[in-house]
Amino acid sequence: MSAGGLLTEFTATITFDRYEDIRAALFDPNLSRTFDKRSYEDGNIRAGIVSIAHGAVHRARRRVENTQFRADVLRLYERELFPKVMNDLLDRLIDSDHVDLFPIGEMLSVVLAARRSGIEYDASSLDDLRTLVRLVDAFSQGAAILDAKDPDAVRALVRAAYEEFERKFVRPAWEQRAPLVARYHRGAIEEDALPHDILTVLLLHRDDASLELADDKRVVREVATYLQGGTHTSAQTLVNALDAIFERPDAAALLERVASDTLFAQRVIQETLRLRPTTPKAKRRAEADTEVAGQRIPKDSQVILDFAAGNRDRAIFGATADEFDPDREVSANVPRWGLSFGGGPHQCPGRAVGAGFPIPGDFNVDDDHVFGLVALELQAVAQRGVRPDPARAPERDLRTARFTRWLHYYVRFEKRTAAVS
Amino acid sequence: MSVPRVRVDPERCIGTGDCARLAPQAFRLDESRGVSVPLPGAETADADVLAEAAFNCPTRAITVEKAKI
Repeated sequence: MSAGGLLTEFTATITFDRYEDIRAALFDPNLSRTFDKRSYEDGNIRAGIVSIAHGAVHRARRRVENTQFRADVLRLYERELFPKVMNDLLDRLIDSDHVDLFPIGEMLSVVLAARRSGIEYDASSLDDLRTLVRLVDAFSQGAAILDAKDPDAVRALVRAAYEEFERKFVRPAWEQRAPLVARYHRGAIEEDALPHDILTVLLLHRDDASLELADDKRVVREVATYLQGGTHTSAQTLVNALDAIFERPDAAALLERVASDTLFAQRVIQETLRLRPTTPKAKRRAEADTEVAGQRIPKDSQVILDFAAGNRDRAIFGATADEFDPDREVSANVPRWGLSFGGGPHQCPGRAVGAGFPIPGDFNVDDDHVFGLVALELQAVAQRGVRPDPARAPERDLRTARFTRWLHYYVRFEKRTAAVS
Repeated sequence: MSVPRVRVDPERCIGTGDCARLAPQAFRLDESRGVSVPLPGAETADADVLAEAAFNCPTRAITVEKAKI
C-alpha cells in the first residue's frame, strides 16, 4: 500500500539471513531499491539518484559513471595522489596527542571523493573540507532515511544541504565544465582534454534520454551521491577497524603488522567490513511476484537482506565466522568483505576505491594490485602510534538504527609523524 | 570436441570492468558504449578464469557455454 507514492505497508515482510540466499536476492531483477516513487518536490529526497534507480535507467547511468572507477584510475589515486594528500592532511590534523579520529577519517576520504565527483573545492583548505564533511553527514542521513528515527528532520536537513552543495561546490565546477563539454561536442577538443570526474561524464551524456538527467537538480543529487558514497563508508570503516583491533588482547602486535604490511592492513579492512558492514541490513521491494531461495515473494513485499548475519554465515565463513581474523581462509568466489558492498547490479561501484581489489587465497598479489585507500589510512595512523584514548569514550551515531556507525572516536598518538617503528 | 562459447549481453552489462580485470585475455571494455566485449579467442582462455568472470559479473551478462565443434 502506498501513501502518495511512498510505500509504507507491505503485502509481506520476508527476511533473508543466509549468505547464499541474500546473494540470490541481490541478483533478482524483480527486487528493487525503490520504496518512494514520489518526486523530490513531493518529499522523496533521493528521487532519481542512481542508488535507487531500477532497470534500464540504472544500467544506463552505471555505464557512464563506472568509467570513473577503472583500474588505472584507482592505481593513479592510490599510488600518486593519495599518499601525499593523506600524509599532509594527517600532519595538519593530528595537532595534539589526543584527537577525534572520525572526522579526520572523513576529511581524508572526502578529498579524493570530491575530486572524483567533479566539484570545485580547494583540497588544501581545511574550511572547504570541513564544509564538505558536514554536507556528507547530511547526505549520509538521507541515504539511511529508511532507518531514520526522525525522517522529516532528515528531509529538511538534506534539502538545505543540497542547496548549499549546489551553490558552493557544484555550480562553479559546472560553469567550468559546460564550455569544455560544448567544445568537445563541436569536435574542437578531444575527450582526453576533459576533466575525468562524475560531473563531467554526466554533462557529457545528459542529452541521452535514457539517463533521465534533464533536470539540473537531479545532476546535483547524483554528484552528491558519489561524494557521500566515497566518504562515509571509508571513514566508518577506518574507525571500525581500529575499534576491532583495540578490542583484541594482541592489539599492539596487530598494529605493528598493519604498520609494516599493507596487504595485512587491507585484510584488516576487508575483515572489518565483513563483521561491521556500514549498512547492516538492506531493504528491497518486490516490483512483481517472484521467488528467491525457494521462498515465494508476493508483489509489494518488503524484503530484508540481513548482511550482518549473512556475513557471519558459518556455511561460508566457517566455525570462526564471528571472530575477527584478518588471516582467515576464504573460499574462492567469496569476497573477504562478504556482502557488505551489496551484490548484483547495485553492487557498490566504489568498493575497490576504499577496500581494494579482492585478495587471492594464497595472499600473493601482483604488481597491479590495488590495496584500497582505507588500508593506507589505517596503516598511516598505525605508523603514527595510534592508541585508544582512555580519557574519552567513543560515541556511536544514535540517529540511525545502523549499529556500526560512529560520531566520534577519540584516540591518542604516540608519534605525530609516520615513522615505522 | 567442445570449446566454450563466450558472450556478453550488452543490454545487461553495466561496464564495471570486473571481467576485464579478472580475465584480461578474454574481455575488454568498449569505452564508447560503456560495456565489456569478449576478445577474439576468448574461448581459449582458462576455463576456471572464464567461470570466475561469469560468476562475479554483477548483472550476469556473461555466459560461457559449451559448444560442439
